[in-house]
Amino acid sequence: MKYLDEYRDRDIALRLCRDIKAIQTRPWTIMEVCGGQTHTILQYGIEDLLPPALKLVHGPGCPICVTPVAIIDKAIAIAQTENVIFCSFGDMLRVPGSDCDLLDVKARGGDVRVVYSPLDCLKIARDHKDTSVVFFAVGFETTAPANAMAVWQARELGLRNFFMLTSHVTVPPVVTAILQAPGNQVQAFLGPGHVCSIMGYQQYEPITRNYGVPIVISGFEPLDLLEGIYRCVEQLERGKAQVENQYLRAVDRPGNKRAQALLKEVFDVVDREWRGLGAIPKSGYKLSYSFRDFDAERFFDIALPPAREAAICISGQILRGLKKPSDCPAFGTACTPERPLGATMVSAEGTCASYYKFKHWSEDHA
Amino acid sequence: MCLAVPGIVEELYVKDGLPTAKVSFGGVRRSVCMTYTPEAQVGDYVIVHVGFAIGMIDEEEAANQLKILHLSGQLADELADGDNSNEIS
Amino acid sequence: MPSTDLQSAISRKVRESASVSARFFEDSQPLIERIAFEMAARFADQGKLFVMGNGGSACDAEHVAVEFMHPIYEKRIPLPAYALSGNTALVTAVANDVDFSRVYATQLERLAGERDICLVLTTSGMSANLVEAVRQAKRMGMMTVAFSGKDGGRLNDLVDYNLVVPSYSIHRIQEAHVLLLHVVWDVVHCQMGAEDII
Repeated sequence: MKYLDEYRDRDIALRLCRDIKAIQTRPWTIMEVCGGQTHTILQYGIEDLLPPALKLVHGPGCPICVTPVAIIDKAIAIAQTENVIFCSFGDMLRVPGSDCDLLDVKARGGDVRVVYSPLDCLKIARDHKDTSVVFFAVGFETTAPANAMAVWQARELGLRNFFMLTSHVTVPPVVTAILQAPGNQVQAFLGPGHVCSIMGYQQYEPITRNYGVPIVISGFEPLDLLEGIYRCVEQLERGKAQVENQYLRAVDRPGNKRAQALLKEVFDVVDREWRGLGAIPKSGYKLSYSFRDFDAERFFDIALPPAREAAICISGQILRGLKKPSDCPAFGTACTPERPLGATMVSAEGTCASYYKFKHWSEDHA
Repeated sequence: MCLAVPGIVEELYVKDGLPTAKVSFGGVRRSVCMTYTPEAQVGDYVIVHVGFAIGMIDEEEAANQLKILHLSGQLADELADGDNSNEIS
Repeated sequence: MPSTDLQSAISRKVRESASVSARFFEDSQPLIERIAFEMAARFADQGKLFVMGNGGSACDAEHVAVEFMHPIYEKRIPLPAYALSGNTALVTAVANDVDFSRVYATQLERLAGERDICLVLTTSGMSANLVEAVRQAKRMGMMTVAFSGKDGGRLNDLVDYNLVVPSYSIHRIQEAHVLLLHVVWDVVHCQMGAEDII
């Protein structure tokens, strides 16, 4: 496929690795933010191609992984309510809540449906005027414009039975939180390519200035990541700390202004709880005042007991890059993709799931 | 969840008042909302995420980048001093 | 004090005030834009503005109310705004019979609804009657905004939006608040579609 296959060329990948090795003189630790980037790194065994002195740490860029258990519980409670059609992207269905997951609700007779696009929910809402159709809006800034458009269209169409349960998070605050955390080892970041297609990359410039870390906005294919890593190492070796754009074919500095304008209309920026990371200020979205009638949390005012997580799960430390899945006693035994204990094993982009799929049965190159 | 795939715009139309396109991903066709890429024409490449085009592929930049990528390895060649330090095992 | 020293003291104070304001507005532009955005949405939805403060801030609260209710420019529409510090009989009654901390909260309870806006003006951010008012406003689903100073005080954890003037001088904070209330009134109207001609 054009614009994918060319970026998977093995020869060029190996040549980029040689270039990285040629310029590196000291150990460095780099974090890739996006779950999609983690997936590629593990799928293509990129870590194994890099010099051992270059450490890659996997970041919290998996919105499914960072959705708090309390919100999963709310989703489950709403899905169990009579006269509700609960719609979600596929990978949210098996994220464990305190007691069960959405797939269990579906198995027990709840009307839980997988959608590809948030606009699919609008059709369902129009076809079932007497039912409440609720969409589980999870994602980073890449997905937010699509979800914003769904709510906008719902208002245009005068739909009164469409609601959104919002669990949106944004990247710059979590990058800052990682840099501020005591014991942080990360010295540079591969920035989120598609998030920046929407938002541009101006928001990362104050971070590079304030913390002295290079941030190279990178794509998702192996050559994109290797080129991004090369540019990080080059900056680190030269003592530079700037935002660079590796993903030039899809990202520019201002980003998509139309999408940003709609996000401003539809969402307010609020403090958000991140699973495994705690509360991060101004790191999420909630529906703005003009769209409050579509807010599922407002409409379904359900009181729930406090959320509970499997005590053995170390997702939080994995999301911060402090531990690897192989450090977890339950990895591959009590916790597998078929029976996940925590979110990082459920999501296809979660670090644990990627490790399981691509590394579990091979030697761990520690 | 930021998985977005490049595809080629084959047809443009309006659906429910929203600009929409038929986009082909290596032969697989999907209907894509084009509200965020109004400038896209038939034959352009767009990046698609959850049924929405979130941006266009800058084909000139892509061509430039590939040219540079094909030149990679030259730095290592220049710095190599013949002691096998650049062998990938 | 010799007159030239006093004159240079005057210049210094005025410069300080201008620089405090300049710094504050430089950092606060996106926040002001966002506050005005939500206020405009609420006004468009028949919401009302309830504004309050103590002492000099009570005067500034009344200034806010009159800007909205009686616009200086006839092409701008009047918008409903009440300064809760103005009703002397009610304020003294509640203060005398209940507690001074309740003077604003009780008014909000009886007069306001979830579409409305609660704006508190303060230099310390610590006043009990404003904290009570904001808590009441939040319970009712109102939008809560503060013009404050110093470090923002107790309001940081309470209000939706806290505009904190970074100064520890009460006069300098209040001077910035007066400029701020004009700017907010103006930007609210721009957000509602008015021409930016002021």
